[in-house]
Amino acid sequence: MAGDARLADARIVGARQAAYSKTPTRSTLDLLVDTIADACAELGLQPTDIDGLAVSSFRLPPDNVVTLAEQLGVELRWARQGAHGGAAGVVTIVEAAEAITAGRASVVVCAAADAFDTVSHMSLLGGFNTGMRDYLAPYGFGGTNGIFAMVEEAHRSLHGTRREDLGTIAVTQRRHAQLNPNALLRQELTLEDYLSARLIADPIRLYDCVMPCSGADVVVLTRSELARDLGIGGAVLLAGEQRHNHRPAEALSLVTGAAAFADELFATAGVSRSELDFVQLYDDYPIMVAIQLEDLGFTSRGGLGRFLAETDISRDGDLPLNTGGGQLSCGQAGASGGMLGPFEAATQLLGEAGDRQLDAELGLVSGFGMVGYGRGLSSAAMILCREDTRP
Amino acid sequence: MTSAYPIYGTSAPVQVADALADGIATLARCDECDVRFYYHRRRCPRCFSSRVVWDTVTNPFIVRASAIIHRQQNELFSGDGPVLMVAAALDEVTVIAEGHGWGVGDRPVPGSRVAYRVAKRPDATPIPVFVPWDLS
Repeated sequence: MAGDARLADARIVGARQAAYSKTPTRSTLDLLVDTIADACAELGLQPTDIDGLAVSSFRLPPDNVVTLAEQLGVELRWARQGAHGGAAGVVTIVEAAEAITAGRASVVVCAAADAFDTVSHMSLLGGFNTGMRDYLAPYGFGGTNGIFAMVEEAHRSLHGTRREDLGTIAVTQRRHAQLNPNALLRQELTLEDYLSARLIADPIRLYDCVMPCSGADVVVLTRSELARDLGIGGAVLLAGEQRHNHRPAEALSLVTGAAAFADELFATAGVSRSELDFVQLYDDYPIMVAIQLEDLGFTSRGGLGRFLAETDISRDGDLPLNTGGGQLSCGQAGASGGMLGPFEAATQLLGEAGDRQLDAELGLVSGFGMVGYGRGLSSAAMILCREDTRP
Repeated sequence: MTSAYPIYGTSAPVQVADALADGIATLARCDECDVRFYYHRRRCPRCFSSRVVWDTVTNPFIVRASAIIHRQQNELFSGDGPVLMVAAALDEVTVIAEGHGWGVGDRPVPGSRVAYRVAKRPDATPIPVFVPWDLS
């Protein structure tokens, strides 16, 4: 049977998302507690059923995964705090599947949330870490827009990457968001709108940027036997990889850690790129979607234009991309931005995507984040499939 | 500009701040394995040696990329006009700093030469910046 044996006994059985909002309506802790409780209630799980918990959040302190367990009234055999920014969603789900398969937990909730608005998001970034605080924030470059503007500029300079191609990503995702009632940005976006939007950090314009917001995303995993007891086939993780601080000596890198593990990821999963029914790629900026398409082997360096000419990334196309609209259209709820792709993938494979449901059996999700001095430091990806269609 | 985020913060040794006050821009180098790096790390990120020294930079740097920041993300800087952000490399080391000396809306071309040196902010605090090579 294809897939990583270390992940084989875990099933994704549920996914839940809090209503996203432009300004906080609840604290981060309340978002997490409500969304986790709702996800478990939907599955008929009681607090006593849960023995594993992973959480990713920037604004949870002074609380943490253990005090969140206290709030929830759950006793844990396994606990993880995601510290990988936008990669934490994928990282914690893969590690939860490993823990379940190893017998260290039976029911694991992987959660992410942040109660952000634009102002609180920006104040976080100035002191995000030592590299940003002491070497970029003193210039006012505490945010990520300038860094990824330079990444895009360097990519254009080296590879000739066109704004029109990056715009195709943003416009396609916006069309997908129009079928997602929880996406905050659903109005039509044309390529002309994208290209002529106001400059934020030249060459990056408004629709290259995600909108900071509040929200929570939760994915629930159980042992396969429990999934059967719940009457849920669920989704299986075929492979998962992570890489942090890839190419340690580089700043302003145009390559993510995904380049280091992509071939192994597909080989372990036992599937080819052409078999995928969707990809949910971490989309803090369209240029990072382009770079991940390169790193994951969907196209060559600088091949975005050719890839888009040959590949329809719409929901009806060859390789549907970010089928819920991604962060570019849903908003970025802090660390929950890294759980948005896993949530969308789980929702699709569980058949719970409503109007945007695809006929999907197999997909890939990537995470990327923890911006340090001039680059994102963390990358992760997983390939998952419906249990009943496992290769 | 604001001093809410002082350059180097408390993460670099005092001699680096002293050099900056004297108008000298520096780069970290491992005295054990000779690798240069930026930003400051307590131990050499290649060999873990604690023999990290700071050398006066040699110029020119070569521009890798730039961005013109029209809207600063940190509200402390929101009153500043467009700011030029430049990433430039000296051999294997890439440094990111503000660009001074280019016209409004102008930017250095990737591959062009720039100089890394210390400038004074309006409040007279020193900060390393990139300037066009022909102004250096």
